[in-house]
Amino acid sequence: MLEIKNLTVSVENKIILNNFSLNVKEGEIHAIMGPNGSGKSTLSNVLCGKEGYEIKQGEIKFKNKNLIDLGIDERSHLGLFLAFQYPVELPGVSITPFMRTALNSKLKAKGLKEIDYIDFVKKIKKAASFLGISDEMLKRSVNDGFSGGEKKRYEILQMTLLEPELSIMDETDSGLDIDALKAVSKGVNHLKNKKNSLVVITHYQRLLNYIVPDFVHILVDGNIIRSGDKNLAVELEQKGYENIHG
Amino acid sequence: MDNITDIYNKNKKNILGNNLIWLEDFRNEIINGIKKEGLPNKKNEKWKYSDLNNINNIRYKQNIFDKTVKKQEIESIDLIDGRFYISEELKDNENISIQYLNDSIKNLKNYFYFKKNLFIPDFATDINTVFLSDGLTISLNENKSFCLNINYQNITNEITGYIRNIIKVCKGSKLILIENFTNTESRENSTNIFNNFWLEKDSTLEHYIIQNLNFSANLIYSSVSFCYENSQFNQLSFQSGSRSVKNQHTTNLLGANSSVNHNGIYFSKKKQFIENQTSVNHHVANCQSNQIYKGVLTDESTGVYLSNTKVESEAQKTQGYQLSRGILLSDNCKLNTKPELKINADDVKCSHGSTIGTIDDNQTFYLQSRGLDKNQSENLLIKAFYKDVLKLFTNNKSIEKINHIVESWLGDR
Repeated sequence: MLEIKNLTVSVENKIILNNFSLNVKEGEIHAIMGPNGSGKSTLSNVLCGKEGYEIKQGEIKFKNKNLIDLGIDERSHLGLFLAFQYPVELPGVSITPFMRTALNSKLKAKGLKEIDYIDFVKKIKKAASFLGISDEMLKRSVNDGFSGGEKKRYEILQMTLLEPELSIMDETDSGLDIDALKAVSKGVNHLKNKKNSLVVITHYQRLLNYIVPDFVHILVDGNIIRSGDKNLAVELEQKGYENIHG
Repeated sequence: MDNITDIYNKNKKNILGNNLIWLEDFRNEIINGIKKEGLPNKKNEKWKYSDLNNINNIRYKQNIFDKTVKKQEIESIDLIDGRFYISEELKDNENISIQYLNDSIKNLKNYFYFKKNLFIPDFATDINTVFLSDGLTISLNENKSFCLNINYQNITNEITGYIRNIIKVCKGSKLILIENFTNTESRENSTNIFNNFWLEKDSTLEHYIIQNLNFSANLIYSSVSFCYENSQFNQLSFQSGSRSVKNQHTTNLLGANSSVNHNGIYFSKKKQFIENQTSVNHHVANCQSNQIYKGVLTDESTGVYLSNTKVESEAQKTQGYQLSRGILLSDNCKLNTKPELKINADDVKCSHGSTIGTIDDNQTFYLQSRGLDKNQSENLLIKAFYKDVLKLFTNNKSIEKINHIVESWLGDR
């Protein structure tokens, strides 16, 4: 589903990802763990097409399409989703019309019939209820004045509605208390099936107790130094990044 | 200056109220004052940011009242080619009194001379008095509610209009006044409007100015308002049309617990010039004022927003707030904004804020990552940007109209 080959990315002439490769197949969950500054957020931003990154070499293929050639919105239409580490506040933008526009853009790009307002309201209310988001919260502007936990629930709500084939969760566990972590994980696991895939970016093993990965990769200085199964995360938690060797 | 005197002398006979000695004296006084002071110029801080090509370009053309003009809507007043048309239904309405200024002006000497210190002397309003062409006196009776539409729509080219409206909302009443400015076909029209609003005790005025004139029109719109005890004045000025427009709104809070909201939204493109000026004078204690203007500019357009809060020494417990925000969508547009506070009391809460910037890239990226294209994302953020300016206003038809004009503005950009 996602093939990254020998990707080197720089920002203002500083190499952040260095000859990075990753292969994610349909239905797999990959965890990428790394210390601060290892290139985790750069990876998620580059995959989603954020400007300001220079791709020096390498290729990224998603569903056999060259991702680098596609615009940010086109990547979303193709089935890519980024759950942001710091979801931006959008004062004045209400979640319901915004997400309906987003979903309809995707349906339109796929040549499918757009969803009408009433059906969409039913859909969003059902998804919100599963994630413990009240109807009152659906009336507020996106992320405006939200707590860390509320913002992350909103991210998962959007993920639920857009039904992406590949979701990148960028430090979704940061700033979450244990209840919010459980609620968010419950939402993600509910969405997970044999067809869709997840890339979970995190510092800690904690989240991986709830969203169990098939593969764990350790990212240091822009490259994967070691890969393994879920036990690698446990080992990392015990030894720390300094004592893990490739 | 000679130009103003010449035009006045040449057209004197046709100017409204020419037979009133007190008005002629007043006009001569104004003309002599302008002769002494000279025309507005950039050296004067008051005119520093204004488009003086619009302000100083004085034209006068006699407008003919055409009895055959038929009104479309019953509950509205139309200004067509510089002349007002009031429907018979409105003239006969028992709740509201509406008269042509031509019929009422002889009794209005006190309104023209009303406490001069509250009518800040101003070139634009002075010129309005000198060349007065039409106007209305409107009074909503006590304890009534009424919604009144005034549609300004010139059909013929090169029309000039010097319009003075005196509008009173009597004790305990609520008036929704909607002024629509449109002219799709006609060219090179200039309008100078001067409105006075009198809000008696416990009254409310919800005032909409929806200006979407074509890019050949020039407009100068001044209002001076007086708010008495416990009255509430909410004004929403929406500006997206005209080649050049200057709006200046001044409110005097004269009664305890009175409040005013001067809210504004403006969209400018091409080579448009949109100037807005609001000022609130707090004369007594326990009053509130908000001046909140937001603008979106593109191409080579220019915007100006000047806000002012003046608190007299007696006006303790005043709450006064100013906010100016602007989004610049091109490299060649510009926005000049200047907040001012003059506070002579010591127990007040007053503040101001001002920001000018572009659309936030992180917000656009977030929306695009959900599947919206760049244009959709920016347009959604622009619509969200001005949403809070509308929240006090209850007339859904006007809000829909504004949103519709914005949709079309965004579609064309």
